[in-house]
Amino acid sequence: MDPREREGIELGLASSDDELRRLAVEQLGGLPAGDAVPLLLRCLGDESWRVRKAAVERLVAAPEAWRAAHSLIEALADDSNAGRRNAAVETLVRFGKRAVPALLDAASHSDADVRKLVVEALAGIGDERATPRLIDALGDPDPNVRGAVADGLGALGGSEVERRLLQAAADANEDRLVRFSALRALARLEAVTPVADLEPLLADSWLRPMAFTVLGNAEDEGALEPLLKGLAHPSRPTREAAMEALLRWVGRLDGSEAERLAERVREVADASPSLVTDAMHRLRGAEFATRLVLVQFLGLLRWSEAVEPLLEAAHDEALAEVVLASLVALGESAEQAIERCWRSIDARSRQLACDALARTHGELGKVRLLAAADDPEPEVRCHAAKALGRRGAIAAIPSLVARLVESAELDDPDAEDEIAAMSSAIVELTRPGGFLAQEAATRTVTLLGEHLPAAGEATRFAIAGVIGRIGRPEDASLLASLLSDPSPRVRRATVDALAELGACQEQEHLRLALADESPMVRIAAAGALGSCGGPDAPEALGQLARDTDLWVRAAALRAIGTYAARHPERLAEALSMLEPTLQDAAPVAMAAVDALRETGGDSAARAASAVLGRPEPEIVQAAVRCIGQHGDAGALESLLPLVAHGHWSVRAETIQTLAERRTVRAVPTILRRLEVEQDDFVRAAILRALHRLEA
Amino acid sequence: MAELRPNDAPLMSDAEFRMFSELVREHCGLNFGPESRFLLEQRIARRVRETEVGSFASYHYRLRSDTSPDPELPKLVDDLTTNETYFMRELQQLKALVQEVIPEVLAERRRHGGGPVAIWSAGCASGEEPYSIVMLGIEAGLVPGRDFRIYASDISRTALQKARRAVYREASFRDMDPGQRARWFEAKDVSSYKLSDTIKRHVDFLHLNLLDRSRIALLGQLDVIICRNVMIYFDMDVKRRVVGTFSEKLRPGGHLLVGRSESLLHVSTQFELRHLKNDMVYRLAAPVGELGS
Repeated sequence: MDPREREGIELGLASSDDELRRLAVEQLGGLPAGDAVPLLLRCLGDESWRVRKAAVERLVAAPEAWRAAHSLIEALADDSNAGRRNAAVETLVRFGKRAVPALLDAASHSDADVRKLVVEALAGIGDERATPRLIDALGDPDPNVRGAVADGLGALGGSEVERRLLQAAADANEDRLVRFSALRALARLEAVTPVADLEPLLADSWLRPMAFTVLGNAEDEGALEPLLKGLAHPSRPTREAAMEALLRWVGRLDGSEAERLAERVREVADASPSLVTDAMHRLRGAEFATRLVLVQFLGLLRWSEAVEPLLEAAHDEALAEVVLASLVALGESAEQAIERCWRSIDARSRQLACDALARTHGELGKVRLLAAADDPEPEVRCHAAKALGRRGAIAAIPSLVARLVESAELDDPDAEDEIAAMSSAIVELTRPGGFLAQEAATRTVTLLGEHLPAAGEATRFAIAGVIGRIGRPEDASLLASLLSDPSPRVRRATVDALAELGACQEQEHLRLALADESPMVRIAAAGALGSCGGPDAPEALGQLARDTDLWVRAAALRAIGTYAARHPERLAEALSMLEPTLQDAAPVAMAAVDALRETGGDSAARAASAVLGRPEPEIVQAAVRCIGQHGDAGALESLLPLVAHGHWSVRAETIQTLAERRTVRAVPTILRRLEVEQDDFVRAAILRALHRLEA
Repeated sequence: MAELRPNDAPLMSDAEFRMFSELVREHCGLNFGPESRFLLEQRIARRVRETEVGSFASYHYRLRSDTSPDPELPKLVDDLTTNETYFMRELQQLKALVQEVIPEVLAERRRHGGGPVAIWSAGCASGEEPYSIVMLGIEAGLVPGRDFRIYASDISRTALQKARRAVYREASFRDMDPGQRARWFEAKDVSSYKLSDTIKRHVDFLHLNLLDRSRIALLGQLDVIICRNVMIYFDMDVKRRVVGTFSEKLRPGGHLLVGRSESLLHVSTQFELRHLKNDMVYRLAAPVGELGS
């Protein structure tokens, strides 16, 4: 490093501005590790957390910095600087297994605070070598250390660990904090614990909730009685812990046994209604983990009164799926409850109710969804349409078509979601193989066709798209009439739709579309001919490859590639059309390279090498990818000069390609590049490639 | 280059992600880190399909080389920008503006024979913010046009189109008093409301990129800039550039209002935090002797 740069770093580190100190820390990576590490260790004690964070990151990234683990442990003894201690613990944890020997050496440090932090670091690393030492530390004279040990053992596990944790939890002479930590660790380990050992702890109001949590993993049915009693306990934490534990039991049992237990839970709930009303009330304010338990518990109870608060709880996206599963389990009761509360719930709850009704099967639900398709809120209408599609509610087709047309006629960007939702629902209802699908499709296309004469541009566009997605070849002639539409947007959608029908019998129309005055229609026609064109398609596409619009030429070449991939017997013809275009304008050349990659073979790779000297990095990258996929050893070696290409993306792509193809002869070239490479992204690609090539 | 899977998640390589995120950042400052990669991929894949250019690489080339009259890059930016906002958002700050900042600046300007207080709502999305200011201004007894003028800009053309149309749905009214809605809007249909022309005509909309200093020069000197919940999408370097531009556009002692969760700490030392009765705002430090207080 230049002495002036070094001086700049030192000045930065001494600055009173924490942003300048942070930047200086970032630059320390440029110093040799021997110089950088002591400075970074010092920066762990900086008053600014940003500087400390940067120092941690640099230390973790610095080679061999883990050898400074002992110095970090010394920092743990600095009780005047909590930030330094925390940063040291974080760094030790991030060093991982390499720091374990030093930490084990320090586990018997004379300072209890240091021992506690060492235990936390060992637990954070989670290395099994620490287990015996931590078990011994359960006998540490300091209760704070023993508490940390108990928590730490919860990250490690093992039968001996569980035995010792249970011993600590059950020891009436032990500090309550340690006992609590031991229980929490057992819960975290999902340890199967004998009920008899835990029963004495149930008398302690502070330990009881955590003991219930542990009972959730017990195998002994003796756990059930205390848990069921716990549901009616006056203390809320106890009740909620009992709920969670019982949910675990229900989830673990087989079908009929689970239902028997669920029935017993319902009996307890029936006998203590305040349990349910409190649970419903808590859905609004409790923290997420508790709300998750409450939602599942209320679902288990199958109380239709809970439907409205459950819908409200599902406004939190993380809970929505669980709520919907609970509502679906309620079946027709949920449909009745939704019907009762429909007018009083807000738009988001109505959307969620539609999502639930999509999965139930009652007639009442279907009627509600049909009405919801006319809800004042567009989002509710969208959810209702989706639900109707999912339920196969063919009766909804006329109203969905009417709504589609109404939304499209608005020609408003805000209506796009609704158009998409209505279109998808209609297509879903006519999906081949569905019940009465053929009849539904005929009816739908007839309805859509009736709207066409008076429809505006946006509606004609939407209708063409829907008919295409319905996908019946017999509708091709109706679509073909839209190829004369005055709007190029509609003509383009029509060409796309014809391609979706696989309407090769409409090739005459597609060929005519190649001569459309709008480039976007010609581009769509090229794509359609590439994917479903017949024997005459290459000739037509070849002509289009000489179009005046370069994006049309590019589309024609891609289509030639697609066609040749479907008809390998026409490969030579395709190559003869693609090769002359490789020196055309960039989008055309790029399309030609992509087409070569799609057609495949040695000859394609050889042809692609013609663009390796072009100035556009995107094209060179595409060619490298093509050669990587289809080239032989010689072609791959021709890529070696690109390891030093002027654009980072080409260097990275080339290095990755050479590694993927196991081109071992590239190793010296790549190593030389590593010495001078400045771009972090490319350096990372080099390191990954070397790792792969050396393996 | 990686392929597009039309009916599935797009597969953008790490290099492509970097190329696109650098290009977008350079153009308009939007910062897409790894956490927002999925969003960037989805939006770009949609544009690739819409433009039928065939591949991410081709699309990238088009973005950086397009000189057509209707270039593609603004369309992508339209797709990438978040336009979610609502009337009377962070109301206390708007009250601080109309009840404290505007009257004070207006009095100062009148003392020196100046015109109305010039306000720029930078990143106005679909217009709820500048329209809210006009409503609150009128309700506070100010006369738009005479006492204050509002310029509102956004980089999204779609958002500006909505702002000019001034027809809003329920979600835009989540924090608005029903009385205000009844006063300033009329129902267009069951789910949308049209803003009264009394408010609408007092906002001038412009299509501006906050990194494009030459176009921003079209705005004259300003007394207040409101740029709320916009810079959260920028990295530190871009924030500094944008705030630097703001400081050039503001008159000495001019005010800058940023979102409640935003701060100029480490961004600029040219502004000082000012505690008002309703809220806190930033003020451009004036050269000594240039401001009365």
